[in-house]
Amino acid sequence: MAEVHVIGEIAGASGFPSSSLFCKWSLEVGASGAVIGRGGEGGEAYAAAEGWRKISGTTSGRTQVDAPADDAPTVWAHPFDVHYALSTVVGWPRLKVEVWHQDRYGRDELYGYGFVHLPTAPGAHELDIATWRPARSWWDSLKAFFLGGSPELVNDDVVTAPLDRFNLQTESMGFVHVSVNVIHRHFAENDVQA
Amino acid sequence: MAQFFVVVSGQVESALFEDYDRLFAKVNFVHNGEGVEDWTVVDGAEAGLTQVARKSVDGGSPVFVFNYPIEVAYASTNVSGWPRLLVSMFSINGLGNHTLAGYGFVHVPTAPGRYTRYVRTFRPRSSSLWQRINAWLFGDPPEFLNLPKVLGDGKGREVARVVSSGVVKVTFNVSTKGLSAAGYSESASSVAAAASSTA
Repeated sequence: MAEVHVIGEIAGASGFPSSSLFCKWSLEVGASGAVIGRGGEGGEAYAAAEGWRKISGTTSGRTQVDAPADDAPTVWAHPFDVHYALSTVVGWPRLKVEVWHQDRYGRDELYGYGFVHLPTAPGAHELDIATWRPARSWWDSLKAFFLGGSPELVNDDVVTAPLDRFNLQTESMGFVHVSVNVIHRHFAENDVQA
Repeated sequence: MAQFFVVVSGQVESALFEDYDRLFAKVNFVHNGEGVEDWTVVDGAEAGLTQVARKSVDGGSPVFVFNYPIEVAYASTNVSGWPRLLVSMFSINGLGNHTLAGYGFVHVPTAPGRYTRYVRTFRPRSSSLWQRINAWLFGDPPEFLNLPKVLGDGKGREVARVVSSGVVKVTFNVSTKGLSAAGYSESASSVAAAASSTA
């Protein structure tokens, strides 16, 4: 059985309207964008995705809240190290992120959803994840100003699943920067080139 | 003949278009071609529709972010008819009408790896002054009727006049299985390796 190691870090973020940000992240595997392999914190050993099995590592987590001085970029430097066994390259791992802003009163406001397919090619990669959030009406903006919060997705599976999103109105936000190293094992024996 | 597999994942990440407030994209993979019927989809969706995106209201990002996933797996016995990704961009005006912003296409890279492609788009021009006025009045610019043929195969472009529009950023992850067993070499490095082994 072929194996893949994903070792890296969620380095930080830039381009968001204000600082004091944190990031919720999860690694998902599964065919055709179906979210069937999301591991919990320290999660189960087997991903439900057909053909993929998690051997070790944590597949979800949350970074610290970073409030940099002045206009310095956000730094999280949050590591991850996951080891999968696979019998198919369909359903290659995806890194899903949610960026949240924490205001001075400790209220959390959604700043963006995003995801990236982890590179299939072995080696060191620098990835920038473009993020978006549901667009706000003037009423949402007014409510957010006084009460905090912002519109969120009821079901965040839409972030990584290739479903029709036409009813969704969104606005562009900033970028999450990820450094990742991908290591293959036993790919050549299975005549797989990635 | 030996069968091989091509697995494509990635995303239609963002688009840079001037003069538009709200955009969405129709995403289509097309495969095969004239006289080629070898390719079949074994997993995933070949078509999709993104959300309606707008630029950052805070002015932080000048692009329309879709981050729309693409995942499809093919089986074939012949590399002719290699898959292509067609992207059709549409804007929504103040009255809620959909108007064409641009068409673009890109071949799925043939060598395994991770790629970023910038798809330059274009839209048909009205062929007469009257049609131009009509399109402006009713918000109904000209569109191609048979998109996969015109865009994917290049058929019937001789009489089309177009104007270039924006750029769409697409990322691909390409994996293959069985290509070398079928006698194909996907990249320069594999050609060099084959040459050195026969030398």
